[in-house]
Amino acid sequence: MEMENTKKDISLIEDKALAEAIFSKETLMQFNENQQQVSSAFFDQQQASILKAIGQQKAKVIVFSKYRRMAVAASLLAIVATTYLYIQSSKQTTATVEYVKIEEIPSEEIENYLNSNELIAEIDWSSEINEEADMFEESKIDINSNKDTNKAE
Amino acid sequence: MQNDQTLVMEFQQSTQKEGPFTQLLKRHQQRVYYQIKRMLNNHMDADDVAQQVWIKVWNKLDGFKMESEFSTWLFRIAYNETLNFIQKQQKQAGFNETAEKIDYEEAATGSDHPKSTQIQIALDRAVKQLPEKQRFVFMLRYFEALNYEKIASITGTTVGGAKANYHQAIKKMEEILKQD
Repeated sequence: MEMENTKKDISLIEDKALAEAIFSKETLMQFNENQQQVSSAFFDQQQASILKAIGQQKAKVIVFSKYRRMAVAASLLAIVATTYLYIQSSKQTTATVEYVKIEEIPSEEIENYLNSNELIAEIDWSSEINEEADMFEESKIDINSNKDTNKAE
Repeated sequence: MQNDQTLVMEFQQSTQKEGPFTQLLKRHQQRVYYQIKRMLNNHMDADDVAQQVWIKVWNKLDGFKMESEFSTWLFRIAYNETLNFIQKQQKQAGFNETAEKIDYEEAATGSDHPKSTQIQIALDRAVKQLPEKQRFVFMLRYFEALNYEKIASITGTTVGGAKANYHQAIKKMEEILKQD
């Protein structure tokens, strides 16, 4: 393990030496130092900024969840309402279609329908005829009774 | 003092995540910022990217399986965010040699580089012209003294690939310096 670490150290030293052969160690150190020029308060400020951003992100997630639930509920309601209206309009369409289709009903069925209506009509006519007949009988009796009265005189 | 693994476990198992997170942040914050700053050579950009890195850490730490060290995982996020930022910048700026020259001169004389000599300017220029991956590997190897196993893990390559990146970076910087 120690041998391994030593090998790695040597490897790092060699790699650094390759870079320092092009740019001096001082130049490379100066480059690094330049990158680290920040104000003393910078990292505290960065920390505060990061924690604030995370806090705002959490708040957004909570608000979004609440509105998402409302949006889902509204969507379901819209789906149910649309489905209901569609079914209702389908029924009306069916009724219209049925109305149109009456003309396509076979003649047999139409005759049956008329016959059944004639029967009903017959019943009505029969009632009418019977009623008239009764009235006629009554009037006949009246005439006969008047004749008898005249003979007697 | 709790080690990284303990803090990560505490974060994952607790509802009070701010405590362990802040400790991890304090421990690794400077290294992350400096690595990004070396790559971007701009304080404000490096600050923005570093903050994005830590926000991502917060969001993903629950899913971290500790198959690698926390610092390796952290630097992996920093690597990806830095590369994403550079690519975005290049798309927006329409990267070309003229623009790069102007940026280089401004950077060399600006507040990020208070002590600029010719050789410093040359080094800045050479580093900036390196492909991003080679640049990142060079920085991690030379300035962070990371071993190639860790560098390979961070950059999503093999140990051999990481070594090749470092040596290619050295060669490229030598060529650029000769051109000057």
